[in-house]
Amino acid sequence: MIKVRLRYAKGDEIKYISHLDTLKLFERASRRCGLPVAYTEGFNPRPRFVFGNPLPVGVTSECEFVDIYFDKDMDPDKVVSDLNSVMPKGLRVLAGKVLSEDADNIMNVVSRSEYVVKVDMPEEDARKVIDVYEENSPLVIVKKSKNKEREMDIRPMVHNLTFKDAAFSIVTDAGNTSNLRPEVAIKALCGQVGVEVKITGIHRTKLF
Amino acid sequence: MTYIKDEILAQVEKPARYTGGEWNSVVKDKNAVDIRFAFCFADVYDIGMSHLGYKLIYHLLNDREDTWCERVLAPWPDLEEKMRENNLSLFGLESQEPINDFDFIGFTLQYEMSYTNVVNMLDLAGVPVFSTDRKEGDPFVIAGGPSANNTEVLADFVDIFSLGEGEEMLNDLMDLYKEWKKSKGNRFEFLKKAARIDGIYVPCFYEVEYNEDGTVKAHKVKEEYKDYAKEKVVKRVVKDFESAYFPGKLVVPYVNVVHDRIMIEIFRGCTRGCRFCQAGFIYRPVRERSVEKITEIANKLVESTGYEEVSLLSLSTSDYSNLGLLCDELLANIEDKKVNLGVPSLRVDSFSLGLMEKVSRVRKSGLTFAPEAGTQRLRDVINKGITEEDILKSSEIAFRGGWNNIKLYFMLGLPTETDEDILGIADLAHKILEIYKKVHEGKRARKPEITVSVSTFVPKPFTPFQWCGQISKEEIIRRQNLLKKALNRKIKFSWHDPETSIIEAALSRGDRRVGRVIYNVWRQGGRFDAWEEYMNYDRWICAFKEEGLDIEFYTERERDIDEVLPWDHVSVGVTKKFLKKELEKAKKGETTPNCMEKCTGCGAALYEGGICVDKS
Repeated sequence: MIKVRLRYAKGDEIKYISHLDTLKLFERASRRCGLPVAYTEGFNPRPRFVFGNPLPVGVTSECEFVDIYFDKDMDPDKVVSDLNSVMPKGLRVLAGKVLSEDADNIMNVVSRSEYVVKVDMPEEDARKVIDVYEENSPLVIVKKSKNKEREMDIRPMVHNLTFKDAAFSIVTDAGNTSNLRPEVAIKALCGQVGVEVKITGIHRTKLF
Repeated sequence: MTYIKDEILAQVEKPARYTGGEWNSVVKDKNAVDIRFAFCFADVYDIGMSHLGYKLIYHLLNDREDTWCERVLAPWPDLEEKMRENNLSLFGLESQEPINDFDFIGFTLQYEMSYTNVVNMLDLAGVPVFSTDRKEGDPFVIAGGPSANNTEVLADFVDIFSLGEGEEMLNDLMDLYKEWKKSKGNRFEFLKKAARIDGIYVPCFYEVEYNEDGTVKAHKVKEEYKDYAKEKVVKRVVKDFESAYFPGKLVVPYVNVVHDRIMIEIFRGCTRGCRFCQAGFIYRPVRERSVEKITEIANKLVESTGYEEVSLLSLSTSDYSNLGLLCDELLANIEDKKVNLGVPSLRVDSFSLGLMEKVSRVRKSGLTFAPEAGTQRLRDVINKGITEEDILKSSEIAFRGGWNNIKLYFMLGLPTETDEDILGIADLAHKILEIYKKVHEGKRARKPEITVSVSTFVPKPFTPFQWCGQISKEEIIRRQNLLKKALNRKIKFSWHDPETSIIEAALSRGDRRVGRVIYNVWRQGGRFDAWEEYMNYDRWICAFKEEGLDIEFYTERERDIDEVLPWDHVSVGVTKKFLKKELEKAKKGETTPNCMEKCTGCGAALYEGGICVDKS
């Protein structure tokens, strides 16, 4: 058994497709191009895919990951080209590499994510946001769960913030243990500064 | 670029319903086609995209080089609100462009409760909702599908009805349109020519006169249109079903829809002739596809869609002449691709249980039976060729096979129904419960889950019960309560909302005047009436009153056997004479054999196809 780790991009055309539906999309695309994906054992065999962190609906990305398991050796470049021949517009598989079966799960190797967040706000305001960020003081948001609200300092979950060409570049926690959506951080910072912000697009650029 | 901008999409439920781009969706160069066709389904994406007929016609039209057919689904009310706020118009999923300058706006009418959505979609498209208000350059509004067979209710809104099966008829119509467009003719000239095509009905060429009691006196061609409009419009069928169009690919939705799988129609029509069932009559004659053809289609579609399930589609799967062989062949072809086979609407017997074991290793969850009525007398009245013994035997087989979950479907308010028949439903359910106990006697067993689900009988055009009245709302509720009280608590009971069934009945057998009611309800905000959370009964009742019509005239009134029915100008093959005879037999509790046993001369033989030919 080997696994092939694929990196793929999700463009504007399919940014509203949820994580679960993206999973289904990969399963069906694999069948369309006859990819010999390994199946799980048991009563209801499922193709063996392991996906990375869910990408929020509405966000585009150039660094999504999926591990696909195969029973036999596969040429990763062919996996990439086969899949691309049956993918809808907006989904591009960018690269593939073979990993050993016991290589760490994609979910476990990722802890942070970088995004570009396009905004509609005066540059002056954006500079203020950066300044506040650099002060490194607590950034408290109210998190609502089922029936309770609790306060939470999200500043430790934000690792980098810059501003250029009407867009923030931001690095936040991403993964199983700690996860923060970039727009939550930016809105909280703008709140702290007391400026309005309109987010016009979010794009994930890196996972690490 | 999407027509609805991100700002709005981010605020609505399931935005992927509106963005298009699905695998196998067809994008063409709009400048390279002669005809742009907006194909509308008057319900939300999740429902429309579950419908095989919708996908079939979509691909059929797109297989024509000269035509670009786009899907147009009803926006869910959350989006509609935003669209109206922002002056956005209804758009095609493929081009993401407004449809008001398309050549055709076509609707497939699958159920009457979607009619307010038809009007709403026309309005959202920016097209005059009334046929008479459309001018040169406006799209032609065309409608087909099972509910279109009673043309009159939507006659004010629709320019052209296509009656029966669209596969050949739509091609004829598109050919004609292209020619007409080249000739730079006027709107009226096209309608005249279209009316000559078999199966096409142009409502504005006809006029209706009424008697003093409100019944139809005459439905006839207006004097000046006698040369092109037909007195009687005969539905079209595809004679040779084996070679009938079936697309080599199907649009694969991204978002979860109700039926998200490959569906293959294994035969069209039904041999059985249950007297309440419209589908059983309007799709005659019964025509089968061969095992080879179905297998070929399945292989092609698995490859082109990547779906994980193939499901057989028909009105009664067990009636396929060689089901065992078909399933074996299909499994042999698709199993190694890890594709499942779904075989719904099976009659339960030892053969089918064996089959179910074979085809789906997972679903031991539920079996359904549709006895429809609680006593043998009433089952004979409705010609449901099923006996109590059949049902009990099937239940026993199912319980022994490990099933513990059975759902029983019944109808309340069938013609001649008495309280005894209703109590018979409870008796039958109790007997099934006893069988479960007997089968598992002395052993530890899961709790049986037996559900009795009742709907309310809605008399439909083109059935032997088209003359019968529906019971009143009070009576529906009384009968539901009677049954509820009679049922053992261990049996789950579910029932349909009586109000929806009443409105459905009024729309199903309405005449041309009922169109005003639909318009009135829509003006008051009515839409998505097929959804209980949006259906507003009082709004409908009020609209009938405001339009000077009595809803009970359409629902509860028993119609005189010689009365002119609003749909008498349409022939679905099955003759009125045959339906009358069936009604007489129903009243006497006499059954009619199915087409496999004996031809009973229903009239569908005029099409010279399918079982009518094979059997003689």
